[in-house]
Amino acid sequence: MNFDYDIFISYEAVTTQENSNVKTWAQLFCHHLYIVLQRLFDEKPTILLHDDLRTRQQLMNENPVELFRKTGVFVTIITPEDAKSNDYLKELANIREAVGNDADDLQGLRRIFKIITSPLSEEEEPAMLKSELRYNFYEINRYNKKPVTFALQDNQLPDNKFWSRLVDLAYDISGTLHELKANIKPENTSQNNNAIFLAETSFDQQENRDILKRELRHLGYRVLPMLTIPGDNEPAKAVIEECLKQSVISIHMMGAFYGDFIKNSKYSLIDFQARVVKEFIESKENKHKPYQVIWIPSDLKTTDQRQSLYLKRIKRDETQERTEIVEAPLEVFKTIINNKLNEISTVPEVSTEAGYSLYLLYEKPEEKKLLEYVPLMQSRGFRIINTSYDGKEYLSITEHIKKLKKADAVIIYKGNSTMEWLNSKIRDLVKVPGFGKEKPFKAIGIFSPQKTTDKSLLFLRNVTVIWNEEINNASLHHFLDQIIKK
Amino acid sequence: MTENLNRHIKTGTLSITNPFPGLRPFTMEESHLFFGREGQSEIVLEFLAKNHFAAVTGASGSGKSSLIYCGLIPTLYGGFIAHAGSCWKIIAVRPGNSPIENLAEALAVNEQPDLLHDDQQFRKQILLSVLRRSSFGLVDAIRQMKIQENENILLIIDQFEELFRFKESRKDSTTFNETEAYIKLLVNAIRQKGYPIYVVLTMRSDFIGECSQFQELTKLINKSNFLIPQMTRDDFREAVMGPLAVGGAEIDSQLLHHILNSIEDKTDQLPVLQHAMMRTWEFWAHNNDPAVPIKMRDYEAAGRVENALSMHANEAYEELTEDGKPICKSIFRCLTEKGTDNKGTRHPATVRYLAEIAKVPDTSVIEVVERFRAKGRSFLTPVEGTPIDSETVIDISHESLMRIWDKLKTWVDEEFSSVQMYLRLAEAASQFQLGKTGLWRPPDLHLALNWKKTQNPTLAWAKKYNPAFEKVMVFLDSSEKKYTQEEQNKVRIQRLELNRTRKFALYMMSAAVVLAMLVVFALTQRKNAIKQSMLAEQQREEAIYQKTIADSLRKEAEGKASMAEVRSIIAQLNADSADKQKAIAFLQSKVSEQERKLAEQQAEEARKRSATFQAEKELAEQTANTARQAAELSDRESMLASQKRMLSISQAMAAKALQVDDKDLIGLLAMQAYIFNRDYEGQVNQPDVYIALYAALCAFNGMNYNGLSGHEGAIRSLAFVGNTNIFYSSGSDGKILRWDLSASTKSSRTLIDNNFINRSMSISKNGRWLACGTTTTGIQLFNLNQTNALPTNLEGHKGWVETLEFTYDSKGLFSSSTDNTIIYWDLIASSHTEFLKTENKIRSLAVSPVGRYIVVGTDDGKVIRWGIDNKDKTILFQADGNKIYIVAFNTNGSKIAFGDKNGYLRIMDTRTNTVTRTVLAHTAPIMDLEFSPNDRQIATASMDKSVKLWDANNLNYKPVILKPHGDNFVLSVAFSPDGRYVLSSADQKDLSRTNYIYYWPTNEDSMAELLCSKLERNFTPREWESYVGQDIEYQKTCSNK
Repeated sequence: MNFDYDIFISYEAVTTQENSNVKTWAQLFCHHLYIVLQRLFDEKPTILLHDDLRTRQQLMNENPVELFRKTGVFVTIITPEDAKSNDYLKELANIREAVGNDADDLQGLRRIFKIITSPLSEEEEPAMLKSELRYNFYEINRYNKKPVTFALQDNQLPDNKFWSRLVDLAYDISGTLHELKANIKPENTSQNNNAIFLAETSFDQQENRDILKRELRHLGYRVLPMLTIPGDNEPAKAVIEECLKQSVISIHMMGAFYGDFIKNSKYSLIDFQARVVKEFIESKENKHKPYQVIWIPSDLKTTDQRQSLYLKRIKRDETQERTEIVEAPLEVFKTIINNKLNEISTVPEVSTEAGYSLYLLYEKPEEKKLLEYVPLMQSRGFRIINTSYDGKEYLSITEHIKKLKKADAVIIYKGNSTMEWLNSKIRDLVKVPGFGKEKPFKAIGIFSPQKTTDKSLLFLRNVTVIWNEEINNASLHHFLDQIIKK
Repeated sequence: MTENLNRHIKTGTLSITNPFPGLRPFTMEESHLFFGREGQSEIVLEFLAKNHFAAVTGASGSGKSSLIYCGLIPTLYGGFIAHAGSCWKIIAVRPGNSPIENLAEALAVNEQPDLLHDDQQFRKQILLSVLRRSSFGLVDAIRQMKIQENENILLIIDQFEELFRFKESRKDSTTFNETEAYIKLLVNAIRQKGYPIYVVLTMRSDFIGECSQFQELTKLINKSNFLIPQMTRDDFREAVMGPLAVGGAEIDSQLLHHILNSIEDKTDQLPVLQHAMMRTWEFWAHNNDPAVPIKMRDYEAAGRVENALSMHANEAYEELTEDGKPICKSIFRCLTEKGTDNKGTRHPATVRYLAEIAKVPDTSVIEVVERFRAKGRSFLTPVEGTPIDSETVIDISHESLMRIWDKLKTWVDEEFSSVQMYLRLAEAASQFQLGKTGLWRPPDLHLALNWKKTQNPTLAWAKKYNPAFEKVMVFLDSSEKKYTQEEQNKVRIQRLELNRTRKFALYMMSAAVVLAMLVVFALTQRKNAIKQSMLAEQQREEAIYQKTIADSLRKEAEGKASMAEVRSIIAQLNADSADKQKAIAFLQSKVSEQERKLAEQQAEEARKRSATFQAEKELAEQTANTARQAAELSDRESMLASQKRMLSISQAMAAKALQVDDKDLIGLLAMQAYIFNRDYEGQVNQPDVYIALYAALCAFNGMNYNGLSGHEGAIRSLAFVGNTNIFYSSGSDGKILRWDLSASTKSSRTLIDNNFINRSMSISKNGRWLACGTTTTGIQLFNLNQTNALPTNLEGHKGWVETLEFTYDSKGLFSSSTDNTIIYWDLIASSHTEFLKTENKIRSLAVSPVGRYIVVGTDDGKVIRWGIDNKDKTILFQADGNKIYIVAFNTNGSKIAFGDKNGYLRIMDTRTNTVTRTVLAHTAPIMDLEFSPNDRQIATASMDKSVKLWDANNLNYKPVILKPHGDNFVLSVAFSPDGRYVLSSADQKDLSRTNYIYYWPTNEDSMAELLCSKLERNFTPREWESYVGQDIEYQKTCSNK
C-alpha cells in the first residue's frame, strides 16, 4: 500500500509560536524524529507536520480527513493543555475518522502513536486516544516525585534518555510503515505464543524496562502489554490475563518504590500484576502457564517502607512452581532471561507411542550378540531405543542423556566389556534423576558375568535391578515380565 | 600430588548418603554426583576423539580437574569414543620441578603398580633414559609398557603451567632444553598413529601465551583448546539440584532461589557451594524426616554459603588440644602463601617438612592433619582413609579456604608479613656483606627482633623463601649486639654525666646551706630591729598615756583648787554677817545643786555605761549567733560538698561502667554508682546511673534482653489493655501482636496479619475494644473479649486513619484521617457521624480524661480544643508552621503536653490554658509522648532516634536518654498501667535487622535489685581503690555476696 504521506505529526497550535524565532518543544521533537527516521528508511520518509497542514488548509482548502486517509501513521504530541483545546480535539477527531474506530482498520496495525510530555489523569486523556500506543517523554524525579519533560532546546543536544525513547518510537513507526507498505498482516495474536508479558514497573526502573523490552523485541518476541494497563482493578486484571494467555514468560522488574494503589484494590499496580500472574499460574482452569521471573536488582536500595515489606514478602513467601526470583545485576538478569527463553523454546519430546521403551546399552563388539534378542523384546510390545554406533567417531553424551530420560527401562549388556564400562553405565543411571528424569526406571536389567560393587548402586532406590550372568530367552522374559508387572 | 590423583582414581572415597563432597574435588567414582558441567565433557571428548589431544584451560579454581576426572574419564570408560572402546589406562602426571623425571615416575608406577619401591626406582631410571633418548621417547616408553589389545593410554598432564614456572625459575640452557624436550615428547606421542595414545592437559588460562613459543604445541592447542566457561546461574542450579535428586531429597524452592541469588560472581564458588550444601545436608539428615524438603533452617544452621566453611573449619580447630592449636597454625601457614598480588596460593608440603617447621614430631602433625581431613571435613588432602606417613604430601583441598576461613586469613597475612620481614633482612644482610649498607638500627631493628621473638623462624622455614638464613641471623645478631653495645655505652656516659651532676649538686647544696644560714642571721637581725622599733613605739604610746594621766591629774587638781576657793569665800562670808547666811545657804544650795548635778551626771554616765555594756553584750551574743550560724553553714556546705563529690564519683563510675569489658566489673560499677546516688540523694533516675544499670543488665542478660521481637517492619503503635500488663503492638507489616509483660516467656500472639500497613491503634479504657487505623481508609474494630473473632470494619474516612482515641466511657471512638476529618463512632448504636472537618491535616488527637473535650494537634501548628457536647472551639496554642505531632493529657486532665516538629515539648495548664513549661526536648520531631499513670514522668519518642524519660515536675532535670533503636525513628511509647514499665517501638530502616519493642523499668531501683541478684562478687580492695577512691571507706556493693 502506498501513501501520499508516511507520517503525520499532530500537535496543538498553542504549542507553536508562529512569530517567534525560538523553536517549540514540538517543533524540535519533529526535527529530531525526522533525523532518526531518515536512518531507518531506504528513502526519505514523507512527513506532514501540523503547521504544513494548516498552511495547506488555508491555501488549498483541502479536506483534512481525505488527506489523513492517504497517510500511513500518525504521531500526536499531547500535553495537559492540548487535551483541553478544541482545535486539537477536532484534529484528533479527523484522524480518528480517517483511521477508523479501532485498530482493525488497515491490516490490524496500530497506526496512532501518542507522545505524552507530562502525566495525564484518566479524565484528562482524550477518550479517542486511550487505547493507542503510548510513549512517555518525561521522567519522574526520584526525590520530589514530580514529572520532568525531557528538555529540548535549540542548539543543545537532548540527553540520552530522550534519544533512546525517540529511537524506540522511530523503530516502531518504521516497523509499522514497513508492514503497511508490504501488506503484511500480523499473526493472530491470541494464537501466537511468542509474546512476553513485561509487567509495568516503578519509575526508577523504567529505563531498565525499556532496555529489556528492546532486547526482547530484537529476539523476535512481542512484548506485552502493548497498551497502558487500566487503573481500575477489574479491567486491569482482564488486560493482564489476556496478555498472559499469549505469553510464555512473565517478567516483573522490582524498583525502589511500591507505587500508588490502583482503584478498588489494596495493591499498587506492581504488586497487583504479580498477584494476577500468580493466580493465573495457580488456576487449574488455565492450561497454558507462563513462567514468572521476578527481578530484584542486586544493588537495589529502597527507602519506601511499603516496597521494602513487599520485597521481603516476595522473598519470604513460598514461591510456587514456575516462578523464579532473581537478584542480580541487569546484564546477568538479561542472560538468565535469554537462557530461560531458549529453554522454553526447546519443547521436551513427549512420546505418544504405545508400550514401554527399552534402552539398550552395550559396546560395539557386543552389538551382534544383544541385537539377536531385539525381535523378542519387540514381540512383547517394547519399543527399542538403541545405542547407535553407525559410523560415529564418538557417541553424543547429550543424546545418551536424552535417551535415558525417555526410557522406561534399561538393559546393560556387559559381555566382554570392562568392569569400568559397566560401572560407568550404572553411574549414568544413578545420575539421570539429576538431569530431570521425573519417573524412575521401571526396571534395570544388568546382564554381566561379574557383579559390581560400585558404591553408586546405593543411590539406586525404588528401582528394580535384575542381575543375570548371561542373556538368554528365559532371563530376558523374566526381566521383561518385571517391567510389565510394574 | 600425582600419587594422590592416581589414588583418587583407583580408590576414591564415597559418602553413602550425602551427595555433596564438600571442599575436596570430586573423585572419579563420584561422577554420578558431578553436575553443572553438562555438555562441556562432550566437547573435550570430541577433541580427543578427533585429535587425540585436548587442552582444558581456565581460571584458577574453575574446575578443570573435576571436568577431567568426573566429566571426561567416565565417558571414556563408558566407551563414548566409539573406535577406542572402553579399555583405558589412565596416567596422571604433573610437570613439577622435573618434568621428564616426573613423567618417568608416573609411567613406572602405571607400568606395574604392584612393584616394590626399589624396583620402581630401577624401572624409573630406565624409563628416564628412554624418555631422554629421543623426541619419540614417550612413544617408545609406552610401546615398552606392552599394553593390552584394545587398551588405550590417556596421559593427563595436570597443571601444565608448572612447566613454564619451572622454566622461569631456572633460566639456564638445561632447563630450556628440558622444557622443549618434554613438549616434543608429548607432541610426537600425539602425532603418531601406531599406538592409541591420547593426551589431555589442564592449564591456567593466564599461561596460554607461554605456549606460543612452542610451535607444534600451539598448533595442537589451536585445534583442541577448551576454555572452561564460568558457571552460570543454571549451572549452579544443576550443581545443587542434581546431587539432591540423586540423593533422593527435595529442596524448598525459596531456599534454592536464595542460594542462587547469594552466589557471588567469583570463579571458586562451586567448592564453597558444595561445602555449604554438604553441611546443609548433614543438618537436614540429622534433624528431619527424608520426606521433608531441605529448608532454610537447615541452611542457616550450616552457616549459609558465606560462613559454612569458616564455621566448619573452626569446629575442627576447636577440637584440637591446646598444644595442637599452634601446630595447626604452623601447618596452615606453611601450606599457604600470599603473593605480592595479594592472591593466595597453595604450597603442598610433606609431613616431615611440616613437622620440622613446627619443631614437633611427625606424629603431632599427623594428629592435627587427621582432624582436618576427618570424614565430611576434607579441608586437607589426602582425603580421609588414605594412610599418612612422614613422606605424605599434605595440601589444602581448595584455595577458597584461604579466602573464607577467618582464622586462616589472619594466619596467611601473618605469614606474609613474616616473610616480608625475612626477605627485607636477607636483602639487608646481603647488602651489608657487600659493604653497601650498615647494620640495622631502631625502629627497623626493634621490628626485626620482635619478628624473631614472635615468629621463631627456623632454617627449614626460611629456606623456602631465601637460603641465606644463617647470614640473616648473623646480621640480625650483629645489629642487635652493636645496638646493645651502643646502648651500654650510652648508659655509661649517662652515668658519668650523672656523677658529675651529683657532685656539682653537692657543692651547690653546701653553698645553699651557708646561704641559708646567712639568711637566717639576717632575718634574726631584722626581727630584732622590728622588736626594738615596736618597743620604741610602745614606749612612745606609754609616754602619751602618762601625759594623758598627768593632764587629767592636773585638771582634777585645778577642780579641787576651785572648790577650795569657794569654801574660803563661804568661811569669809560666815565671818561677815548673818544676812549673808542666806547667801551662804544660797551658795551652799548652789554647791549642793552642783553636787547633785554631778551625782546625776555620774548616775547618767553609769546608766550609759550599763546600756553600752548591754549593747555590747547583745552584740557579743549576736556575734556568737552569727558565728554559730556560720559554723552550721560551713558544716552544711561541707556536707553538700561531700555529697556533691560522692554524686560526682557516682556519675564517673556510671560512665566508667560503659567503658570496661568485664561484666562483673560493669555490674559492680553500675551498682555502686546507683548506691552512691541513692544514699547521697542524687536525682531519682539519674540518667548516667540508669544507663549504667541498663548496660550492666545487658552484659549479664545479653543485648536486647528487654527487647520483644515479632514484627517485620516499623512498629507504629503500642497500647496496654485496662489495668493489666497485656499490651498490643501494630505496625507496617500489617500485624497486630498481643504480648504479656508479666509472662515469663515474652512471646506474642498474632491478632491479625493484614496485607496493608497499620497506621494507628488504640484500646478502650475498659479493655474491651481495640481499634486499628489502616492505609485502606478503614478502621478494624476488635472485640478483645471474644477470642478469634473477626474484626468489624468501620468505613467512613476517605484517607488513611492517622489517630484513634476511645472516649473515657469506652462507648465511642474518635478517629482522624488524612482526609482532615474527625469521625465519632458510636459503638453502642453502631453509627458514625462526622464530628468536624479541619482545613489542615490533623496529626494527633486526645480525649480529656473526664470526657469533656477533644484536643487535636494540626499541621499548621495549632493545638485546638473542641467541646464534645457543644463543639465549642478554642485555639489553645498556635505556632505558625510548626506542626504539632502529638498531644496528650495527663491522668487527671489538669495538663496537656504537646510535642512539635522542631522537638519542643510544651506543658499547658488546662485551668488557665497557658503554657507553663517549654523545653527543647529533642532535635527532631516528637512522634509520641505519654504521662506516667502517677503523672510524675513523661516519656517522649522522637525522630532523633531517642526515647527520653522526663521528670514531669521538673523538666530542667536531665532526662534519661535511651537509644536502643539504632538508626531508626522512635515512633511510639506507652507506660504500663502499674507505671513500672515504659515501652518504646520504632521504624525499621534496615529490614535485615530485628525490630524490637523495648520495655524499660521506669525506676532504677528495680533494675538495681535485678542486677544485685546477678552479681557474684563485690569489688576487690584494689578495684575499690582504683574505681571508687582510696579515701572512701570500702563497703560491700551487694551485701549478700
